[in-house]
Amino acid sequence: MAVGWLKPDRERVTSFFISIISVCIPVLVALCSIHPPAAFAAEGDIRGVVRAVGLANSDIGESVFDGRLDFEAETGRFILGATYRAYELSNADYNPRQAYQDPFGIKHRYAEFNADDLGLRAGDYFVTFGKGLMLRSFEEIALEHDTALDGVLGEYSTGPLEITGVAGGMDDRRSETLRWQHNVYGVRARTSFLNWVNLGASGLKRFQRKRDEGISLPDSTSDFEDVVMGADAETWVGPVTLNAEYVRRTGDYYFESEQSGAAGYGTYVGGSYGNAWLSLLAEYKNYYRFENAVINPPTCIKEHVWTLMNRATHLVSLNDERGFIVEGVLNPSDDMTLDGGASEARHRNGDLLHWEIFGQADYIRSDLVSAALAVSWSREYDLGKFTEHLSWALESDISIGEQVLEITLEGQNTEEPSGYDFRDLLTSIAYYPRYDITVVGMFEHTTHEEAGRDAWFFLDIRMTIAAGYEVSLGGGTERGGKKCAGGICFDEPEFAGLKARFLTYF
Amino acid sequence: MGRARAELMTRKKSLTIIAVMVLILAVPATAGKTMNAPDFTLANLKGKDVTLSDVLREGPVLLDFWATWCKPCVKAFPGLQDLYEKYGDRGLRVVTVSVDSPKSQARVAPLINSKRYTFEVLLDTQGRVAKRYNVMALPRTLLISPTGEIVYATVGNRPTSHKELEKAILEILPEESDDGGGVVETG
Repeated sequence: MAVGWLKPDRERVTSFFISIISVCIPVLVALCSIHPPAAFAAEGDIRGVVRAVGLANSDIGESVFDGRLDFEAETGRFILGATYRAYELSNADYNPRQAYQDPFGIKHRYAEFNADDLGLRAGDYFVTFGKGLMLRSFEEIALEHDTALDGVLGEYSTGPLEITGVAGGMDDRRSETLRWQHNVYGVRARTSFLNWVNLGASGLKRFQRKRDEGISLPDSTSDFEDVVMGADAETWVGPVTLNAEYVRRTGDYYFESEQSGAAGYGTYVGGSYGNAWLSLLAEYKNYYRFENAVINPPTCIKEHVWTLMNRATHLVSLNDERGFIVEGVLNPSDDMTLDGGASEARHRNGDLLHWEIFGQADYIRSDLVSAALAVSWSREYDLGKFTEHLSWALESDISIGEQVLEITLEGQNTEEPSGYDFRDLLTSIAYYPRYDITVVGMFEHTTHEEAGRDAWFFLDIRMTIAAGYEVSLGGGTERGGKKCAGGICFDEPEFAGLKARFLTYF
Repeated sequence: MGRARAELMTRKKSLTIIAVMVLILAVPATAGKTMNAPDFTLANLKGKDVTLSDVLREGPVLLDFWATWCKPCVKAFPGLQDLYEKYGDRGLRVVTVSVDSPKSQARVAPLINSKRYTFEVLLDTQGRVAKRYNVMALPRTLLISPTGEIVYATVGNRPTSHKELEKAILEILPEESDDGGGVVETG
């Protein structure tokens, strides 16, 4: 397979500028803060956020420093921005986030021009076509995960028609030696009719290069090329909202060790209805031979806000999965809300992959007290056998004067396919003695015999020390485990030691 | 090779220390200043485009970034609704921006409708407006004066958050007809 590959030596260029810019940006911020330049003061702005985290793991005697600066300067129709990252491990073997991309240096940089009907962006950008079946590059800061495309993005609108064009690439480093490079070129048109129907159509050509730097040439590199075409629609009819998208993929297909020229597809249909006392939601998905790093389609499963339920989240297979979720929310009174639903996923051959039934009741009585009770019962299937989770969560806020206590209890019973079962319990207490201080204690216990420990305790104190400054200091042990946000899941490592965090905005 | 790598690491550490020190020294000077709110246009739950500068013509805007999967965000909504009902007739506009991805976007309308919230809800599925407002954690809440200045900004929801918000709103509302009011800022 011959692939036209356009890849400038970005690393060399980036490293050349790192030394200069890593100092220049903070100095610029400092100077602007003291004597704002006339251009910015008159018609522009400089803004950003600084975050610094330090971890010291007492178990293994290693540490991490993670600093990040997001910086943007705007004047007139132009915007310049960058994200600078200083991530340092005390020892390369201690890599708790499994970060294989060198995170030191300029993570993102971009220039943007915005006119009334035209927007142009060069450098790193995030973009979504439709519901994310066709294309979605995004950043999930909580999980330190991003799929930014590096290239150009153009948007033009005329009347009810909006046209978007993209050309860009992304590096995806999945281990010490395995590296995926993705290049995409595509266009999308979207139009609205009468303010109640939106229609969109998109086309994309994608190139993928898989390279294993641990293998000598010529076996180290494989190239794949495919084309995706899709259409989407959404409409609002009174209290009813309907969405649908269909995408078809043709060309080279690669998943794990399977390679072929077989076509794939993705289908999503969703609808919701809502009035003052009842809301209903239903979503359907059908994904087949569809996996790609620059997409992020709806999962059609419940994403729980509770820690233990969240750890049992079903991971959707975009290569062979179809299923649905239905959910209803009822408001029997102003103080109370009842939420319940179910989801199911199967392979194309009908084999079960997952099901879940969940429910939650919320009671909020002004500022004095609030309570929530949630339950979830789910099964994850693998070759006919299943892992079962039965989870519950109870949360209550109690206010005494200006002081507030927030108590959360979570429990989970898990039964593995072998018949082995264990229990997890998590207790979290947040105390707000003053507006600018929060003290959080978290205790977790498990009966799992191979968990390493049977109990973890972490105490964290968060303070606003001055206008625009937040610091936190914590110590103890944290269990880790699967953590999901925005539909993406990562494994958080277990931790024992001290954590310090600093955050400020400018 | 090992020596070169060690030198590179030493240089990186030096640069990191310099950068962090300069930033820590630099930011206090900016932290107390008012900042201009970047203008934006986003679709609401009915697909209609809403532009911040248009809303600001009606009065100060309480801008809140949230997501359906963010528990503190959802817990903050009754407080925001109370503020809107209390000060809406004096010009306060409450605009919430959902940063839900297409994965969870379908949950936004049912959640809002079922709770009978009447404030404006916009969809930032691309995350571009959130980026422009430095949204690193949710919820992020800002109070914007009619002249477009960010006069209050906070991250996270504490049980007493809306009381602090109310203080900031009251500082700005009486001076609406003048030039924006004073600055209240927290982290």
